[in-house]
Amino acid sequence: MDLFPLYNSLRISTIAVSAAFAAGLLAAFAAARLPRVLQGVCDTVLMIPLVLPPTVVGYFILVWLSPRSAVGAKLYDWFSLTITMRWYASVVAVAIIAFPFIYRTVRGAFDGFDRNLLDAGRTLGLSEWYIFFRILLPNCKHAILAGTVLAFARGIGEYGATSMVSGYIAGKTATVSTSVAYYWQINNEGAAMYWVVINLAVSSVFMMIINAFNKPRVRG
Amino acid sequence: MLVCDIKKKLDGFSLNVNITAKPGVTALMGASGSGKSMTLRCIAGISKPDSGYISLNGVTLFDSKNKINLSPQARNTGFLFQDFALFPNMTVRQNIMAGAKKKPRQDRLKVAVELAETFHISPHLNKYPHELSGGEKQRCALARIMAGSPNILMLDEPFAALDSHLRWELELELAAAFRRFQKPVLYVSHNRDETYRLCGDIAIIDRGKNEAARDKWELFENPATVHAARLTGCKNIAAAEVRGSRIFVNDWGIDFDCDKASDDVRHIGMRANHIVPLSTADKSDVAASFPFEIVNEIEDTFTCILTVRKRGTDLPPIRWEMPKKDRAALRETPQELAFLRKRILLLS
Repeated sequence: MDLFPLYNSLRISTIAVSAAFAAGLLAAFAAARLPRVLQGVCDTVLMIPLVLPPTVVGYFILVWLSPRSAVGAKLYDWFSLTITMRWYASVVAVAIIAFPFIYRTVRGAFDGFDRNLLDAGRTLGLSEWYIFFRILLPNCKHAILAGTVLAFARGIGEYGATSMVSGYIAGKTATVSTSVAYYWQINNEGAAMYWVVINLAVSSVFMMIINAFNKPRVRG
Repeated sequence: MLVCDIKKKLDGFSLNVNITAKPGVTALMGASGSGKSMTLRCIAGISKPDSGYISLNGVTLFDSKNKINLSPQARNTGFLFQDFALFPNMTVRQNIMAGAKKKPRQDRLKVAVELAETFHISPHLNKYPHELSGGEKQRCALARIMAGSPNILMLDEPFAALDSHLRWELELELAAAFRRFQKPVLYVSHNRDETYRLCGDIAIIDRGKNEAARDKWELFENPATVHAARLTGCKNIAAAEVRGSRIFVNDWGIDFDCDKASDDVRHIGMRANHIVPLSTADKSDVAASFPFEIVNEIEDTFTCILTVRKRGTDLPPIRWEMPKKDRAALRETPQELAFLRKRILLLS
């Protein structure tokens, strides 16, 4: 059996979660410094993809990025780049959907972080960069990793937005989740079952990793 | 030399602190929630006053009029946090090296090893903070601060997070560190004895407002305000009324002979260990004497604490404290108690 959908899913998730990781960290760090009211606004807006149906995210991507849309047309004119119905359209979709998982967990970790440690760093003359990368991030390591793995797992299983923006093109845009639906629709139950099992296996592995991060530790 | 004259609105009260600190140890003593820690935070630059002026050794750190507000990084202050704030992801060595800032790595390492020696934590250089005892954490935090050669040392209740049996040795070490430092030290505490032992000058702070720093002997001898009297450990304080050369204290049912009292005296204070039996006092020293009855008796570790009041009355009791051996002698003869003229604290 062709393993392209598994490879494609991993590729999409890896790129999308990397982008969401950087954006989520920055957004969480910025939000932590805002006044309380603005924090609430920020949380609401940035967390919306978590509760929106993925098809709505897919809809917006199609509306803004398809070759007939304003942005999509410009991208095609300038770079001859078509985004929709390609595998990288899924990267955009998964990045948006994975973002709240990282943002939320990191924000929680930053919120619970002992502010005295940051202030101590400042009085010791340490730069804000040093404080962020050498004090804040290492001490929030477990929460950040757990959020990232959760986002990654969510990305692998993404179906709604992915099928809308990339469709199912065997060997080009097929993913583990769209493969299940595709084979079911063409009555190939054996192949559908095969991809169901792969989905179960991948999900189990991720849950084990997440649990390993959440084990209580003496330090941290 | 530190000059700090700042205002800041806090929950429930306003911080209004005006304090100067010369080289040597100056204490800021006040009850919890009186704004002591916030004052230190403002000087360090990790909290911002609403208005005012802060300078250290002639360098302006904060000036609301001229819109100067140096970053905490640029202020070079040493701040010992109550919980020490060691970085949990770094070893003792890395923590101290982090304090040595911009120096090259080799120099920072050398500084860390030397300071670990000074503060007796050399055997723990490779341990993480969670593996240290409370005392070792404090030593490590001090070493980390000293690595940056700060211009002022500020300590926020340094013994609050430590078990009492650890304190004595650490207190001696801290006193030694203060002597070596030779720059201003600002020491925040609510503990009278600790402050008395470690500090030279003491400024009392109450609900965000401080009194001028005074020499500790002078402060304990003549606290002048009710708040200062209470913080310096005076247990008996009562409202007083001056009439001519006499002071009337209705709460105790006693009036005093006291010619130096000015009209702004509103309260009177008497330390629990300064009350004496009339028979042991020189007549000319006695400002007031009265027959008494014992309301209650509590045995403390080394002293006996009696609560007494004027015999035959129902007035609030006065606390009287004496070494245990004196208590035994007291049992023999029923007596009158005396308040000595020089022991009376006249408070505004």
